[in-house]
Amino acid sequence: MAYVSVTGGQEAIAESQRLTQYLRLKGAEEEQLSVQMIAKQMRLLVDQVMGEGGMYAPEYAALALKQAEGDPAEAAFLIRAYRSTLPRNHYSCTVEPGQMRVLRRISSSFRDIPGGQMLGVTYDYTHRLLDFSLRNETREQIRRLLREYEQMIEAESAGDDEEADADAEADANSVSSFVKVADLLREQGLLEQTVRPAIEQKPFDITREKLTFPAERSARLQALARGETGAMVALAYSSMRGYGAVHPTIGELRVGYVTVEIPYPYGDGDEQVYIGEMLVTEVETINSFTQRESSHEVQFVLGYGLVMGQNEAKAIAMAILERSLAMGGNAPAQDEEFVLLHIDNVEANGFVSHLKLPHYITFQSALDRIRQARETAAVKTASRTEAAATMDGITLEEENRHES
Amino acid sequence: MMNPNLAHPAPDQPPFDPVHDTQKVYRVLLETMSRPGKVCHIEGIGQHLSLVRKEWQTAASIALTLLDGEVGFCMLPEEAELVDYTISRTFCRKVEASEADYVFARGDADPEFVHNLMGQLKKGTLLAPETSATVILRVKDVMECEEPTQVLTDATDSGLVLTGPGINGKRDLCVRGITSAWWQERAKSNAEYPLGLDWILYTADGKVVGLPRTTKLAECCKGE
Repeated sequence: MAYVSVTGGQEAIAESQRLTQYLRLKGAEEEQLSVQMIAKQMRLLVDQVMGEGGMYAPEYAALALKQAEGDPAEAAFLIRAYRSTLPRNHYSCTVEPGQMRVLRRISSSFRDIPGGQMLGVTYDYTHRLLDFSLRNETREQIRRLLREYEQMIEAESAGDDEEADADAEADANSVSSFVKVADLLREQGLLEQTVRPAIEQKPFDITREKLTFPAERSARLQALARGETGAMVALAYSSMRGYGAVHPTIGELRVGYVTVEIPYPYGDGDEQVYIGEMLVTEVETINSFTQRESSHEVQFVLGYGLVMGQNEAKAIAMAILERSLAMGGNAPAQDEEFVLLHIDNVEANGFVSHLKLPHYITFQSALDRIRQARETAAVKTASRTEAAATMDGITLEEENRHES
Repeated sequence: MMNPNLAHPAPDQPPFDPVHDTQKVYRVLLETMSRPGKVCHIEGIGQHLSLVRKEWQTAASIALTLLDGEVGFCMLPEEAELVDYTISRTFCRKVEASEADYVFARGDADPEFVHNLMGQLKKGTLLAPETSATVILRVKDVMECEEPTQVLTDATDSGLVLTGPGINGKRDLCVRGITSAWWQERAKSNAEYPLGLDWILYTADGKVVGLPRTTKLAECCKGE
């Protein structure tokens, strides 16, 4: 369990908080980092905090980051704490990432996927050189860059209008919904067919019920979806390097906006209300094939990852770990309890950080024991030397006897 | 769907604050549950509500504090307007008594109804005793008094002696307007601790008393 509260030494704590505030604000008299700035310009960090905090709210995540002076673990903790106070009145309808408004979509399994590879927003294909020109970015430069890009987009879409007015409908369709690569494999019978259950099953909710093992798949997915990026990447990496057996190909990675709808709160029909859209990263990995027990057919197996915001490394790690856990085995990344309990940001951080809390009694008892052990040891050594001395004495006497 | 009179705050009162007012009510409910039998008050908060019928203010304050979309409630006998009001404010689900997490009922209900209702309610399981129902019961009056015979006038008035966790020794409580079938059924439902039902008694004018399942009751006298 997470360690949360501590009491005592109130004056000292208050002073420590004042100092922290002082250091947070020192040097910020002229230019303060606004929440909007963090939300817009620390986009990937905000996405990470939302994912690990388990709440989709870019502005609140940005606020948490400001409050925590940029510590993602602390920010995620703030978000978790805040979300726990919110009333839970609605559950969304099932979100369809297949209908995603895509910002980026690639496959490393097939070169020519319907709709094409769409590199989109990414730092993947850049040189990792520190760009010193960013130090002197001016407002004019930024405006010019933005304007140039927007004008280019406008020009292109205007051109498209003239060219493809006739098949505008077909064009719109191809842009708005990309066929999923996994579905192509399913069509060819190379992946197991998924059947939508007649009645939607309510997923396990790890925020409401205690996670027990073996966990349901929905619980596993939820725990992975809000796991800590670094921890998950490390565990997935261990599986790929040989502590485990999952080394997949990415069937598809897509980043984009999905629409979120809830059932109409005052109706009992099928009516739905659109409440907004959220940015997600979805990864489907294709793993080694196995023979299905049911059909005896040889088929690929899929790994699935879905995380809030744009966090591709975490989504891939999630897909790897999901598959790895489903497979089972003796490697750390295949152990459900090991993976799911240790990837949680708040729990792990809380437990490691709780060592900073007073453990005076614990340590006092350890001191008592070490002193006792030393005393016992000293007594034993003393009696042993005594015994040894006596023994020596006897030998000496005996030797003397022999000599005489 | 809603009575238009329910939708607006009373003219002389600030509107009910769903955050701070429910927090105040919650603190009071917490107090009543940790000190069973202690009579606490929430009448001031209920006045912020926009209800036409004043006698619903206490029940509505408790409902807005405890209910949300995660739980189910039932109200017996059902007051249609109050039910609509509760659903529209809390998104709580209206369910059968056997599935309800919160049950609103009246102390003066007839014994047959009480036996029938109490038999259906969720008492939790040994692994999850917290999944039991909370009974929120409207009574005519509650008071802490050592001389119950002076206050009790009716056959539905009970003088009680409370013991158990949260009570230093014993506490005397008089409850008016509750049929003795409720007490019999309460004893029955709480016989196998940790299973059982937690109770909140309230009056129309904002008095609340908590009777958690750990509290032992002895009926010392009754009104004539």
